[in-house]
Amino acid sequence: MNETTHFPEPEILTRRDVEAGRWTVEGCAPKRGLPHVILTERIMKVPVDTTEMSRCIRAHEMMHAKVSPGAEYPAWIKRDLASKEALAAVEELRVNLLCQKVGFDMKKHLSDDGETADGERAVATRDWRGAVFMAIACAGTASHKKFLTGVRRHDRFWGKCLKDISGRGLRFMEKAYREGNLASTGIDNTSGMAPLGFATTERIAEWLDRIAAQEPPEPEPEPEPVTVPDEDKADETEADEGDGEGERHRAHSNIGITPDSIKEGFGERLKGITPDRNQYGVPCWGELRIEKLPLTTLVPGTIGKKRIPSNMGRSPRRLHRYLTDPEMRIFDRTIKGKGGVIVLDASGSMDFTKKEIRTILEAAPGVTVLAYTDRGDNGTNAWVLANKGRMVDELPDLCHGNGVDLPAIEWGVAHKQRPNSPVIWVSDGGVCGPSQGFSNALAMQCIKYCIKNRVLVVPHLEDALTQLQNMKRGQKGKTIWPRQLRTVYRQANGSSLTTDHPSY
Amino acid sequence: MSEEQSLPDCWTKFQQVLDNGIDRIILYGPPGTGKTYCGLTHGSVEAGSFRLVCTEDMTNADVTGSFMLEKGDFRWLSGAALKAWDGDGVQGGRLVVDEIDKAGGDVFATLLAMLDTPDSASWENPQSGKVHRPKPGFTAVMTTNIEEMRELPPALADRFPVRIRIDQPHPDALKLLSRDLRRVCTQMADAGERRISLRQWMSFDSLRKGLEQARAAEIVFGDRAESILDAIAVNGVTRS
Repeated sequence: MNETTHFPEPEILTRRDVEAGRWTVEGCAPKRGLPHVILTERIMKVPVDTTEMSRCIRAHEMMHAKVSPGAEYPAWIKRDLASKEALAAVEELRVNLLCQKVGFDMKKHLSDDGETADGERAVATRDWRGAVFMAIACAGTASHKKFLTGVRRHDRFWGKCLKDISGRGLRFMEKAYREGNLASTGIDNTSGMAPLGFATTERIAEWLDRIAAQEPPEPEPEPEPVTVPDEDKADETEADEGDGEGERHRAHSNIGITPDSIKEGFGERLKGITPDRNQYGVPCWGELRIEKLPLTTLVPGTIGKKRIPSNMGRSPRRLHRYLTDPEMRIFDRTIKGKGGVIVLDASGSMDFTKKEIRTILEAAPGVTVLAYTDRGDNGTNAWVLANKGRMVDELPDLCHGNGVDLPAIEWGVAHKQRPNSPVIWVSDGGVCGPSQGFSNALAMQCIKYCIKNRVLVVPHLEDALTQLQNMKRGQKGKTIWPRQLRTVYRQANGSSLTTDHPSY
Repeated sequence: MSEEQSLPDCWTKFQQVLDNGIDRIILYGPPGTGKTYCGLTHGSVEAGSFRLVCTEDMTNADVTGSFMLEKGDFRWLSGAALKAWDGDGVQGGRLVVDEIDKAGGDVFATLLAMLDTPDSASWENPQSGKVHRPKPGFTAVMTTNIEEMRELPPALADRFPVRIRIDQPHPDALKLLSRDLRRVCTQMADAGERRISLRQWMSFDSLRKGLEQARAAEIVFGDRAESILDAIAVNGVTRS
């Protein structure tokens, strides 16, 4: 039988960020996981039969070839604004939406019938993160309904949440499409990142990561499931189409029902989590360029070492303690200070003096102080002002832009003297990339990094001093979140930063 | 300057070598990119440009000329190479040789002589005995679809030190196409086995003005029609 085949024509696709070239196109079965495109090697593997489903799969892979990042993909992942998995899921959403927009009926034809089982599996293994990503990846296609059907068979509440999440994801993407640039393969002037349309993917993926990080309420085990034997088949379709309202306890559901109040709380929490509203450009950090200034001024007693009495040793230096100390600690032992790194936001909105640096050194022996500010050129943007008990004689020219907040904090974490040395970031929270405005995405990245790496954040240098003094007394350091960061967090997550991370 | 308006690199090179006095150029690459057209029209061609299409069956008559019977008498009729040598009588013209690699042995030898350096090149008219030499300004452009320049005979390769691979249609030719097909046409000009020539795009463009797009594609592209239209639709996402 001479059956017609349709090999796609990726050579027709034009991009502004990648040179055109010849492609290798191969056929495969129309099964999830098999069709793919390797942009860097210009290899495309797609089903070549004449069915509408295969045509949609071909369009999907062609759209990847048209708009998705190839060699630049690792650079996007390295930005660490969103996880690799979230980026992949949201990119599927973007590609499917664009296919639909240019006339391919993804809502009707893009499905391989395995999605229902995927949905069931996700709930059975309580893989909330996987379920969220899958729901977004197949949103706007025929797969979506089938996936949610599988989810609802075991947990209708999850089904309701996932439907809401994917609906919102789709709306965000639709909005970005209307704004233009969603399919752009241009290069961002500021960051040099390409393709520009992927910035929307990253923005929504950052939102999705926060959604996926939420812990859905654990259901209570249901003691006696109600069996609906005869109506099961008939009801299945109806129930699957529903949005989870009007609970029906299904015979094959092995997961019980969560109390309504907990569910509502979780649902409301999800609704409060929103993506960054900035839809233009690609916010990015500058490269950290550190200059080690001559540390000529010695601050006595700040090297971080001191002797304390001990009840064992070689030379008894404190013989008087033989009579006065119940533990008879007549020997000496040397202890080192905790050290620590203070990362100072030295932008125009902050202000500090040499005297304050000296006070810090006196309060925290052995501390390293790094100040950063972006001066709008390609020169140095960070300076080590103090280290190992010595400090600079003159402060450099500071008080310009921010530009490198996160790279500076990362430097601080990487240069801790000891694993338990504190890192304190002194900033008012007005973070931004070089020659860019304030960015919610970058601010959220700083917040997440600080929480993950237990970096203390304080808005003023005096607060840092207080924290250091507290830690010297053996107390735990505490973050005082700057107002701007608290606002950003509330806008993004609909909740309070201090409530969500009380112990921090 | 927008991307569409800018001259592709291959054509920029061609322009630059013409502007800087190079008089022997090989243009090679996929067919249908306008190599011959540009050879005939670009640069200084005021003294005339003359085309010579080489085949296995051609003779030297096409190159240098031959006696033709006219009104009971034989008269000398110059060939393309001689006409190009003479140009307008003051300035030499342009000789455009298509597919020189397809010429037979004796024609090839004559062509080598005609394309020699101006100091060495000469040809004597058998009727008048007049010795012809290329007039100043004589230029020669050779076009071929050979991709590997190593396949060219060494003597010929030596006469044409400048070789430019033309992999995109000339922007002037693209202007004849509808705007939405221009970049697509450029990309498909050098797409190997899946190449679609400028002429095919022109036919498609013309047909779709009177027919449904799908029907026009089916007529011009045959089995590939659906895939090509799908690819055009996907490619158009940036404009939608």
